[in-house]
Amino acid sequence: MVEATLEQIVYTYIAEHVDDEFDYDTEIFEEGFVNSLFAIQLMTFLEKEFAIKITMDDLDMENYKSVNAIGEFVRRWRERNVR
Amino acid sequence: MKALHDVLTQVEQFAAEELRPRAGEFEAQQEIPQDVIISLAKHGVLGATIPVEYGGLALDAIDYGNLTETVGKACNSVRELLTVHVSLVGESIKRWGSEEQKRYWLPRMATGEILAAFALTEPEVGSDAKGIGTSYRQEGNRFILNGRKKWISFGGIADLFLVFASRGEEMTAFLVESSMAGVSTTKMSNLLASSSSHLAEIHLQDVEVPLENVLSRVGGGFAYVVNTALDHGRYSIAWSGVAIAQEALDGMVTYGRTRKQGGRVICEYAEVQKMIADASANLHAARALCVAAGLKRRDKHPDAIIETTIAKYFSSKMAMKVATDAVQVFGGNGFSRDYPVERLFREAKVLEIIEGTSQVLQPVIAQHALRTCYRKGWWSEP
Repeated sequence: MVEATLEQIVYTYIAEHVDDEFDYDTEIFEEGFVNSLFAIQLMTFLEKEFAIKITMDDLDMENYKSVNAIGEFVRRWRERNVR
Repeated sequence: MKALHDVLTQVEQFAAEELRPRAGEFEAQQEIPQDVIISLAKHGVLGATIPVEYGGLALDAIDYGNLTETVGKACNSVRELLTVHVSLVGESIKRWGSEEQKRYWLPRMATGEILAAFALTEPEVGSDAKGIGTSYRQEGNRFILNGRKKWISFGGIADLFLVFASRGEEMTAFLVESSMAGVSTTKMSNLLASSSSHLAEIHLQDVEVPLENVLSRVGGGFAYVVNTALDHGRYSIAWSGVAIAQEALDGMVTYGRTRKQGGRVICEYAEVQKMIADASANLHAARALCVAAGLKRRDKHPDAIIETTIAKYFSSKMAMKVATDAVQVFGGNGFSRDYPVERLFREAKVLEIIEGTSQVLQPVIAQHALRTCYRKGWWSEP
């Protein structure tokens, strides 16, 4: 079995909360697919799923605007915290 | 650190001996006396969820819920202090504060040296935080704040305000000290309830706030800061509904078993038993929702937010219904300030309004159900 990529996991989670079609580059907040309450739900999901801890330094909407942006952010976070 | 069980037992005893008998007196005098606040701090209540390393009790969500019920059952206004000081401001600093901010503010909040209040609401802005009128501009490493906040619980005595302000489309959270030049407060009175909660308007006139008092980032993550704070607030209010309803049910039952009409104690009448049964069943349901939300919060589950929203929505409406029925069971005496149910009735109403009115939460809950309960292909349209 092929392991799901980070982006696939994020996409699947967001898709459970969005009726509209979107891809990995769709800006989900900008397009109005999800509301601000979902922002903290997504944050909680990312922390639990990828064992990361989002702090004030990570609070930039650019990090969460799309599936690809989230994937890059999680990788950056891991690299930063492995060092 | 004292054993958790001991702490909760002592708070229960304190609430029974010092808060419940005086709750009506606090309302009449429109203040919570200093000795009560000192005792709350001494019992660790003001640092309930603050980590041990910063001087708090580090209660988890379930224990904090139980503590909220214990305090709220005895005195709703003291419970309000927990909501703003611990849930809204303490949790925000714990989550989004810099290490320096945590080390400076949290120990002082835990000891009660500093009381904190949450300053989001404005005369024209309630749940829709996007329209905030309080403004800021930056001058070097300082920010100049101007504006007015309203309905700020404990605003009249707080030393620290978590203030939300805007610069055009950008919004930022600031830790504003009441001692800063340009900060003034006006006590709010003639309210339906919460007379002793020191509600106030906060006026900010050219208040200079240093960069180190910005919570989180300048213009960044406002949605995260404000929504996590309100999420904690809603969890507190959900348990507050349980607290008021339990107190009202206890009153209803105690009165029903002693008050006689037509030669019988009134609890023997089916009409009274129906109200007691409904209150009891609904209270159990609300407590179950609060515990379910608390377990998810303790587990840091993403669904904790919607579970908390549902618990707050149900529990606040339930408290209003139970308190209304309690007044009904008390009959004419339910109108009298000689009995506590009229106060519970007034206090319950507030829960349906604060931290998102029931009407604001309904579409959130509906949208969740519309997504999660849709079963494609269950039946074909005729």
